[in-house]
Amino acid sequence: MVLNFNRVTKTELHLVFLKHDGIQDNPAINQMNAFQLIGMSSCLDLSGFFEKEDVSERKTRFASNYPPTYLFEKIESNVINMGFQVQKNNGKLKVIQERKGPTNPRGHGSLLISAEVFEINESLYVVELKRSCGDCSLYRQLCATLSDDLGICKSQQLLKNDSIRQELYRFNSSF
Amino acid sequence: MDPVDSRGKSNNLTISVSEVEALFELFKSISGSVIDDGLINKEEFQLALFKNTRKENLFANRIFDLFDVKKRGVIDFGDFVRALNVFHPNFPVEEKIDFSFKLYDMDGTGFIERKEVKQMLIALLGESEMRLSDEIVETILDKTFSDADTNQDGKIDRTEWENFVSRNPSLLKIMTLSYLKDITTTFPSFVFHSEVDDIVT
Repeated sequence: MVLNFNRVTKTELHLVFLKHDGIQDNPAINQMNAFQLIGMSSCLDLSGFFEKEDVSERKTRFASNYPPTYLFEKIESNVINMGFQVQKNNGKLKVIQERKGPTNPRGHGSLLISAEVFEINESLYVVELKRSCGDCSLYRQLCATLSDDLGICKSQQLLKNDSIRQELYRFNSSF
Repeated sequence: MDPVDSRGKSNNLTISVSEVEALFELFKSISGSVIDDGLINKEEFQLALFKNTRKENLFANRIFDLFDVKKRGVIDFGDFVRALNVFHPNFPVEEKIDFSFKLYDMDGTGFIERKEVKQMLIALLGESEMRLSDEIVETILDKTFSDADTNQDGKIDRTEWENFVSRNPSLLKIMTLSYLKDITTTFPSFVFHSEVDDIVT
C-alpha cells in the first residue's frame, strides 16, 4: 500500500497499523496503563443508578499469574462443565445460554457473562468477568471458582512484596 | 427546568423531553431515599450507586463534586440531568474528555499529578482485593506517564490528556451509560403516569 502522507486519511493509517500488527485487537497483548485499571473501578460505574443490585453482582476482577491462553482455556472448560456455550472473538470470551423453546424457537443464545484478560506485565494479568443477565448466584459461583483456581492466592501476593521477601530471607539465613 | 443555565448558556440537552421526565422519576426516588426534600445529598447519592452507604470512597466523592456544580453539598434536578447528559451515548466526545479530566484531577489543580494517579490506582486495587507490590505499581505509573506525559513534567495537562485519550479511546468507556438511550423503557412507570401528550413528542 503506497501512501501519500500529505493526503492519507485516518482510516488508511489505521488499516496500515492493523496489517502490520495483527494482534492490535487483542487487549491482553497491550499492557494496561494506570487509567485503564482505574476505569475498572465499580465506584466509577454509574450503572448503579439504573440497576437494583450491587455492582459486585455485575462486575468482578482478580489478578492471575497464568497467561491468557491458559486462562481462557480454563474459563471455557469450567463454563462448558456448567452446561453453557462459549463464543470467542476480539480477545473476549462470552458465556452463552442456549434457550430453545416456544418463546425462542430458533434457539438464540442469551449472553450471560463475558470474560476479558488484561496484561499488567508478562507474568501478571487481570481477569474481568461481567454479567449481562441471568442468575446472580450462578455468576457468583463462576467467579468464586475461577478466582480460586486461577487467581493469585493471598500468600503468594504477599511474597511478591519485596520487603517481606527480604525479611524472610534474613530470617531464613539466621539459622 | 431553566432553558438557560447559571452561566447564561442554553442547556444543550441530547436527551428528549420524555427522557427528561423519565429521569425525573429516577431523581425522585434517589432524592427521597433519606430526606424527602427534592435534593440529592451525598448519602443518598452513595446509596443509589452502591446500594448501601458504605465507607466513603475517593471516586464517589469526586463524582458527587462534579455533579454538585454550585457547590452546595446537594444536587438538584437540573444538576442531575446536566451531569448525566454528559454520559449519554450521543453526547460530544470533547465534553466527555473534559469531564474525565476533571474527574481524575482530584484536587482541581488543572493537572493530573502522579501522586493522584497512584492514589486512585491503590484505591482500585484495594476495592478489588488485588494486592500488587509497590514496585509493580510504580512500573505501571512509569509506563503510563511515559505514554501520556509528553513534556515529561511529572503531570498530565489538559492537552496531553486529550491526546492520550485519542490514542486510547477505551479510556472513555466509563463516560457512557447506554441505559440513557433506553431510559423510557427502564422507567415504564413514567409512561403510565405521564401527562405529556403524544403530539408533544
